[in-house]
Amino acid sequence: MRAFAAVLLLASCVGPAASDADLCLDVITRLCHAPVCDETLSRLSVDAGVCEETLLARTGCGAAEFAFSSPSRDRVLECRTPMALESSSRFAKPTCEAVTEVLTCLDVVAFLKGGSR
Amino acid sequence: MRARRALTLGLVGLVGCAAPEATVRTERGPLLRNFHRPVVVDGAVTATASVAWPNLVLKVAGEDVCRDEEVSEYAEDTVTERSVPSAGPALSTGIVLTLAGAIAFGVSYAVSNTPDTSVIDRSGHYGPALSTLVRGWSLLGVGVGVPALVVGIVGFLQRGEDVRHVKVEQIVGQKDEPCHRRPLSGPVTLLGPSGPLVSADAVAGVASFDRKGVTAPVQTVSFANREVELDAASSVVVEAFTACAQLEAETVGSLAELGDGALIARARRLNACRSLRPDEVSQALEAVKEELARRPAKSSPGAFGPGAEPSNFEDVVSAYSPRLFFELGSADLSRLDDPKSLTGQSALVDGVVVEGLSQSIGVVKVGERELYVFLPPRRAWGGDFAEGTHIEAVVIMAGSQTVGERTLPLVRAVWMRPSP
Repeated sequence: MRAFAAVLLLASCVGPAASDADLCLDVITRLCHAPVCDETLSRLSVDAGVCEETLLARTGCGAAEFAFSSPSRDRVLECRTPMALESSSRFAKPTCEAVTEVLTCLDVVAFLKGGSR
Repeated sequence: MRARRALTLGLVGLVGCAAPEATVRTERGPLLRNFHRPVVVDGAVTATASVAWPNLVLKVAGEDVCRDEEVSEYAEDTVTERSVPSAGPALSTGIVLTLAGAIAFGVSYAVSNTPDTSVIDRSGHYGPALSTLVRGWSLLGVGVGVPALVVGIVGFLQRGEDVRHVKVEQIVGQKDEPCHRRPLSGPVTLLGPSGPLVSADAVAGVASFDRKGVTAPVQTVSFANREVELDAASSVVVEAFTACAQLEAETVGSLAELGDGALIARARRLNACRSLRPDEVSQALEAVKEELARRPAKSSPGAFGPGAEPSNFEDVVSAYSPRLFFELGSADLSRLDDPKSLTGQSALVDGVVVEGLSQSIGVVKVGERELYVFLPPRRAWGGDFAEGTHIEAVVIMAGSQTVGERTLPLVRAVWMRPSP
């Protein structure tokens, strides 16, 4: 009974696990939020006007069946943490400091540059 | 099973939150009846004294107090009101929160069950669906509301009042009379200033004391550690017996060898003893008076010589050589009928302070007589000589004085002290 109540209360604060595709889209949307940080432009070699489209095309996150392999989902979640700490909404623009920290994850940068899936 | 036990414990705890406040009030009802109730309580031990020289005979008797109590019996209600001030707020809060929780729980099934995909937290989860949020709030409402509801209900159940009907008695009057007077047998002791003087066993209420044991003034008489009450006449007899006993023990050579103080003390004892043994002491008393008269009167009573100040009562007695003795049973008391004729004479007073009229004047009672007494400087009735104080004083007669409607002999105290 008590366990049920606790689970119900906790469950009311959090939803189901996000799909890999939505998680990937979340990262790309945050990195490409205008005005795009210089670090994003230089490290990911994208143009500010087409940042999101370029990264979606490179990674294939637009497909509903997308799934992380390398880097793994956990690795992406770990590297995304600086931006997630600032806001859980993907439409909130992260600070460039957080973006720079995210882009220190070389495997994630390689993934976003289309080097791996 | 564990859940039920936890629920029971929780409810018991909640009842503790609704502890009632009790107010007790007493309401006096109508008078039921009046009646008389006889009660017997312990009374005094009394004694009467007589002298069969050389013995003092005390007839000791005990008595009870037969009390007739007049009692009124009333009806009385003791009303205990119990209230729980927190019951109302708790009940209303409980109803509102429980209802709101229940409604929200129902509504949760009618709203969107889709997670909030615009939000993904650190652990990779979407934001909760609106239905989940509403359900969580409903649970919170019910979780707070139900205990509050229980507290409120328990509180309302505990409210109320108990009325206890009793009969109470009030003693509205009583009349005491001595009764069951009976002679007592047991140890009787005469006590002086420094302790027991002599003891004797009372048989069938009669105790006899030989004069030889009485070496100091008798202050109290006790029977089996209870103080014995002597009437006024018996007190005079005991005092006279004491004086006679002390005279018998004295060895006096020539009166001329005695100092003024010792001579006056002997005169006082002879004076007191005269009521018991007039034939035996009359001659001695006359001799003392002659000796006192023979001695030159002080040119000015109380003159101590240049620079000399009296330092104690005996010095003052010696200096003033009083010729008058105002004490219980004294023959000189009758001379107070004409106080003006005594003006200027010194006197020895042994009495009890009965009234302080001002800082410096009061009333001292000697037997049935009363005197206005002016106090020496730096003395006060309230402080040194409170009402009821037994005193002895050397005084100068100063005629009479009228205060209000009372005219009494007036004396000026030269030295006054509490009587030992």
